[in-house]
Amino acid sequence: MRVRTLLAALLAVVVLTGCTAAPGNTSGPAPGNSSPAGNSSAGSGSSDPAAGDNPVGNAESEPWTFTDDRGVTVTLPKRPARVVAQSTAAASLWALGFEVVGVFGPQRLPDGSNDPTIGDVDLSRVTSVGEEWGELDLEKLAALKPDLIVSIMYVPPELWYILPDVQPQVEVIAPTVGITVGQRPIKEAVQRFEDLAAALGADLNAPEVADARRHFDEASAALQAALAEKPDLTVMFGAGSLETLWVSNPPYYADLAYLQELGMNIVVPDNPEMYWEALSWEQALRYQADVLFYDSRTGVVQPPELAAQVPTWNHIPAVKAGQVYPWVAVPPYSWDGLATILEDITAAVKAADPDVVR
Amino acid sequence: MWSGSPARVSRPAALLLLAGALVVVALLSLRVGSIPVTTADALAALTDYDPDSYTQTVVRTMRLPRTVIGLGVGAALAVAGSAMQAATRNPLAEPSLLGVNAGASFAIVAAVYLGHMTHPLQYIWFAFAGALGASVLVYGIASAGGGASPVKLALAGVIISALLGSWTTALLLLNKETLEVVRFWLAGSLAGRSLNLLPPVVPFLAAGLLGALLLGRQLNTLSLGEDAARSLGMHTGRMRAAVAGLVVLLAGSAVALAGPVGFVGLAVPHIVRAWVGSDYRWILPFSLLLGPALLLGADILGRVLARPSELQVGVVTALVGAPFLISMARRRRVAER
Repeated sequence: MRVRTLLAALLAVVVLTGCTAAPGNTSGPAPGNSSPAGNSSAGSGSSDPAAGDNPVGNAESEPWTFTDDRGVTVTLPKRPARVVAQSTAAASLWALGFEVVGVFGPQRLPDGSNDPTIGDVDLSRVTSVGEEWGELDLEKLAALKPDLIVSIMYVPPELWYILPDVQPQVEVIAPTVGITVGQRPIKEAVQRFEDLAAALGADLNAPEVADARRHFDEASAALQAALAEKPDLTVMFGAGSLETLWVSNPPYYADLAYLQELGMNIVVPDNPEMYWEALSWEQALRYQADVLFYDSRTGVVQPPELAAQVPTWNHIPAVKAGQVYPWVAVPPYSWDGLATILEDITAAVKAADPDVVR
Repeated sequence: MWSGSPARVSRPAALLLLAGALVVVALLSLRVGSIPVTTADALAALTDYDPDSYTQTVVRTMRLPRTVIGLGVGAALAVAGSAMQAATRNPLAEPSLLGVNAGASFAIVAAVYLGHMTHPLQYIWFAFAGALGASVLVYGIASAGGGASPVKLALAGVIISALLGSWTTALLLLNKETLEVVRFWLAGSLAGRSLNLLPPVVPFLAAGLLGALLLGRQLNTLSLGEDAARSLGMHTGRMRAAVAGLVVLLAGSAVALAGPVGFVGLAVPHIVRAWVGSDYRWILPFSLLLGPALLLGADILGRVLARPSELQVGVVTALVGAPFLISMARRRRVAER
């Protein structure tokens, strides 16, 4: 956290003196900030979820309780029907058959299709209460009259896309539930969404749920097999701006930790600040891999622009070899959604030359 | 007013020494950064460039542009600051005071938002236009009801800067793509700037620097104050307008190249005055050399401090500049100058 602390101090100087105008948001969805560490100064590692103590199948008339991953128990007079959720959480619940009424967070790509974060949520059937980081529209949220508001947590107890300074106002509108997805096995994260969906009345015995689970297991096995065939393949995950290259730190990301589990050799940066290590572009060759999976979210400078504007990008071995693939850095926590991502990764692994770097 | 120079070395000799120091800093800027580069490689990158060599690529395509651009931006900011401090007799004057930075920033954001201009080569023209527009506005407001006194100029500058700043913020909030395009530029940085930006800017930059250097004697007169300058036969209003024009050229160039970078225009004239005295015929050339030396020094510091990442030079100048400003205010009682 040293650099971050230093940066915060520097920013404070800038803001206090007001001489270097940097309008807009230094705390907004910069790739650094919107990379899933959020912008938190809160202590991490406090996630010890009280999992599994939720009575499943609350009847409509009985009081409803759910204990989230902060250890906060929400108690309501009856089972919540109107739920507003951050994109990732909405996608995860939707995949289990529970339809939210409102969403906040990434929803549409520039071409109008669904952002990977929002999964299969039918955007024509939900109300958006904000897409950008820090853009939660409290009036619109209140007008939806939600019974419950759900988000994910990368750095508990901070709810993603609900800035700490508006959280008290959000709590006035409806109680919040946070599900931890950072630094946690990916299956456990999905299961927590199953707990929540079940508590909300979703039918986990539906054949679609079992099919999706099977889909995920098959995709996992296929990737494991593909990786076993290329034991020397090395892989790096990252994102960039015109000034900085962020190299992802696998243990913090549920998806990357799972890929490691399946046998993927992922570059681990030496001095990560939680979710990543920030490098200047001069340092583009500091870590090398045969394949680079690159954050595909809007707001992250994408490879064509890097190729044109950052000369050292073109020296990266994986770039030279044409082995750069999109990475869904904020995946939906649903079996089907994850399976699709795994299948794409499998295709990349099968196509990759494992001897780009030795 | 403090007077005279310590003059252990003659001023021409000191100017030569400073020029030598600037060359050294510029070479350091090629040599020092977030990865180690040997002197041999740094020199080879300039004389016998091998695009396949990674370190030479770093020197040639990343450090060389930022060094060259830093030279221009540092000179522009420091000379603009000196000229403004003389013309307004306000020791806190720097380019941002006339609303120049705010005007250029707003114009660029507006160009990106409304005109979908995403390349710096397209929007640097708006930087000049915005700088000019804002300073004319500030000058006009300050002149309303007779004479643009230094205090009225400063007040008008602060008001217009705040207004334009809030419009800029509003535009950025309206559209995230605008934010993505300009965020990097708005931070005030020498990194990632292309040398292609230089050709269209250089004529304005050169005209501004040359014009300011030729005005040393007039600035001396102007810095005596409104009444003294008038009694010496100077048309002060016309002179101030000429200085404002030069500042627009200089600050507009600097903002177009690097984004808003603070403190250099403020600090350099003070350091130089303490060193060579209050004669603007000397202050201006010394500022011309010290400005880029300080800016490049700050940029090098930013590369070394946060290694393996980097700090933007605007952040470093603010970090170094704030304590400087405080100590200056306490030691020199600048407000009474």
